[in-house]
Amino acid sequence: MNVLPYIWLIPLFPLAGFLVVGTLWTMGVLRGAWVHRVAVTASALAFVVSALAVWDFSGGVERYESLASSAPGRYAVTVGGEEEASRFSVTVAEWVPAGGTVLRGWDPGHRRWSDLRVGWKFSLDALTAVMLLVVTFVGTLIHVYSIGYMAGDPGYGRFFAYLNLFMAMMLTLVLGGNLLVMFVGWEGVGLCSYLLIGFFYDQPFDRESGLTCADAGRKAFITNRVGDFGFLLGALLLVVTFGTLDFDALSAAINGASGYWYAAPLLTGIGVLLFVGATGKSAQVPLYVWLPDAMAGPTPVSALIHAATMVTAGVYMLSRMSALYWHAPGAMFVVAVVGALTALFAATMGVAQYDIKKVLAYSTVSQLGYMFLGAGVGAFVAAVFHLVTHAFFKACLFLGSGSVIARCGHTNDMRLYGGLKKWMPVTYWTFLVSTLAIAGLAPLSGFMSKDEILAQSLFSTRGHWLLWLVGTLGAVLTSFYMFRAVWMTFHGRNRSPEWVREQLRESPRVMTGVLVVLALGAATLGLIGVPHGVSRLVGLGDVNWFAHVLHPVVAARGVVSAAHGGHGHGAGEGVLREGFRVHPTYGQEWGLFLLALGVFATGLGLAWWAYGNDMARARALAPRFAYVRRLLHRKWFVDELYGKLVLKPFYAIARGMDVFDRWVVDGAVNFAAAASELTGQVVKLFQDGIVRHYALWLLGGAVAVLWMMMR
Amino acid sequence: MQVDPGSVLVLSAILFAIGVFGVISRRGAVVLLMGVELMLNAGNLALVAAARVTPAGGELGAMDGQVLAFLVLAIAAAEAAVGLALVIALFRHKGSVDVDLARMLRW
Repeated sequence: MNVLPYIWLIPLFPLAGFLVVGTLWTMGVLRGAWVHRVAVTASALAFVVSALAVWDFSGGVERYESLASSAPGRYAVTVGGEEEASRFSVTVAEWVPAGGTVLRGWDPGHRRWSDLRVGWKFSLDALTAVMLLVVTFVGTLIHVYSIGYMAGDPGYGRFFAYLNLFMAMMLTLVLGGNLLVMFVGWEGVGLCSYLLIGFFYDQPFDRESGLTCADAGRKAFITNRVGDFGFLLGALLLVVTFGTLDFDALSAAINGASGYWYAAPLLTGIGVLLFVGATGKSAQVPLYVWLPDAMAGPTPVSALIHAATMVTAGVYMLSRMSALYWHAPGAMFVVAVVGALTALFAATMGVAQYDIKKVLAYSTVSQLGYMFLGAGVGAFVAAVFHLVTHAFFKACLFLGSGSVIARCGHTNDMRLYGGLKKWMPVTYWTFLVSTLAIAGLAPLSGFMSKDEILAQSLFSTRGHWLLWLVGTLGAVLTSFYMFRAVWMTFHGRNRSPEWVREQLRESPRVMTGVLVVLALGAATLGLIGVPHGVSRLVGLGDVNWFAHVLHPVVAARGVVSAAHGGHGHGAGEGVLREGFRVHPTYGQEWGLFLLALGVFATGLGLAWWAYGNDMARARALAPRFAYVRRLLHRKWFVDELYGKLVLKPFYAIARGMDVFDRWVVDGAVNFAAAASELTGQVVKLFQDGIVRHYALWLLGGAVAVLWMMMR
Repeated sequence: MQVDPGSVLVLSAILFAIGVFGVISRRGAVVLLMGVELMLNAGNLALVAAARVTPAGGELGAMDGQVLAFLVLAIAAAEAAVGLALVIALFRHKGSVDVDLARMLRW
């Protein structure tokens, strides 16, 4: 079946769903079950078409070569191989036909005419395929879950409309064949994130800071704007340098330019600027502050947008631009350091939260840090793999927490949970499986992806043992705070108020069913990408199917490393990819494997030790660690620091601008108006209605003209 | 008898000044119209006199001034018709032909 030429339809299904639900629900035509019937169908259709397209793609794109040659402006086909990624692109329409623009190249005296043409280009390769399937599959499941979670909400239709719009934008981001189409999706998902965080716009969100949900939405939007500014600058620098935004043309141009003297600083600059965009969207240090507050949104939104899909857009973008990053070791270093720091820093904050969603939020920030750590050390495949597994286990955790929140009187406070295992067995078991996965128990998905990232950060040519150490410390904390959440929520004595305890029960099937599917994914998905090091231990060969599929997309081309040796994992002639600085020995692999399990067990043990016996020891220790707890609970006072360093000066400038605007700009305008009026008031007196006076003025004028002519 | 064109122009200027004085000083609409008529005809006189001293040239020779005077006569006739109609309308409205009474059209 020929599906690939129609991939541009995929985002249109949810977009149509958004328009139908949005307008008809607002008009009051669409009511009740029809809202979610339309919305879920739209999302499911996107999934079906995506799956068909990926199926078509996996059969090879050679069949489309004749189509591409018959309409070269519309279709483009790259038939890949071991090192070259297969790709199918369709340009639906022209968008920016800026042919003949003069662009100044970076080398002196190098002016040239550029043929900058940006079209509505949608393309599909292995990386897109992975993202497509994750986004549409998890997205559809979360649509289904929302039927149960949002039941009876007065904004039911609004919620599903936004959710569909988000899907459309996310799919645009993923399918975009150039940076500009990707940016449309990038901004679109930011908009949907804002709309959905502020979904309960009139309700208070954080009693400590007095924020409303609308404030949280604004915070997310504005923080993202800071990052997007960097993204845009990076994109513009790309246009100025290479005269194109097309991903295919870019990687060729970058590989071609790598020999010039200006390539390294310029590519590093572009890489860092684009990464600034990623720190905003993917909540990395220093722009992560919005994500914990994004928990003001409904829980399915937290699961879909702020865990599984949107926040991973930065990782996707970096992998998409991997050609650039391979040639910019400086930028990769920045990415790796920021990722590792975020992974540890966010984990420390997750330890002291009582709000279950905030624990998960900091966990998300931390896990995204691991993905960036992976991308930064060149383990793009592992980073994307962690993205996929994280999408499943974190979505499951969030939806599990939503199931708990909905049954516990809509409180997020884990101090008011406890012992829920008895009432909510399905939620408990799925939550536990996902916790085991994220904490890194051996065969589950989180182990496969996270520990592959850590191993690569230790062994890769661009890694460093310090990065690995920071990541491993973060992993201990991950295991700890996740099991802390499990014990506080599901074990021990129930601490809910009486009226809540009386009506405690399991969530409806529509919710638990989704949890089960996601938990199954969280448990088993790791098997599609068993790292080489692990499969070697159990006596299997190279069974990393995921890496085989994805590798050609993110492989480094044209990068030759001095450390490149013949024994590098998968290294070919003059090609370095996921190169290993040190090739790990069998013993080292075993050591890492056992260490990973040790990390898992340490966190688990600590959590059990402190929170196991109905939180007895945690309670006993609390006074002694009061200071640390306060520091962590208040998130290292980063919000306060930003308030002092950024917001306060900003407000001061804004107030200065306000005065300037009020008195100088408005003053000038008002003066002009007043002067005109005064002139009019005086001059109108000449129009007195007496004809003879007019004749006199006429005469005066004539005499004046005559006098001037005679002079 | 040959008249000096210069003295005709002076006469024209005097007639024009009288007309202007009439328009500005008199409140009666009819006299005001007469002043206007006087100014127009002073203009005619100047045109005809100037035509006399213009060197001949073109198909019409120095007839331009005379032709223009005819044009002014025609326009003056139309102007008189409209002006008198206005005077009548003013009289019907106000019971007088004093133009200073018609002063509603002002600030």
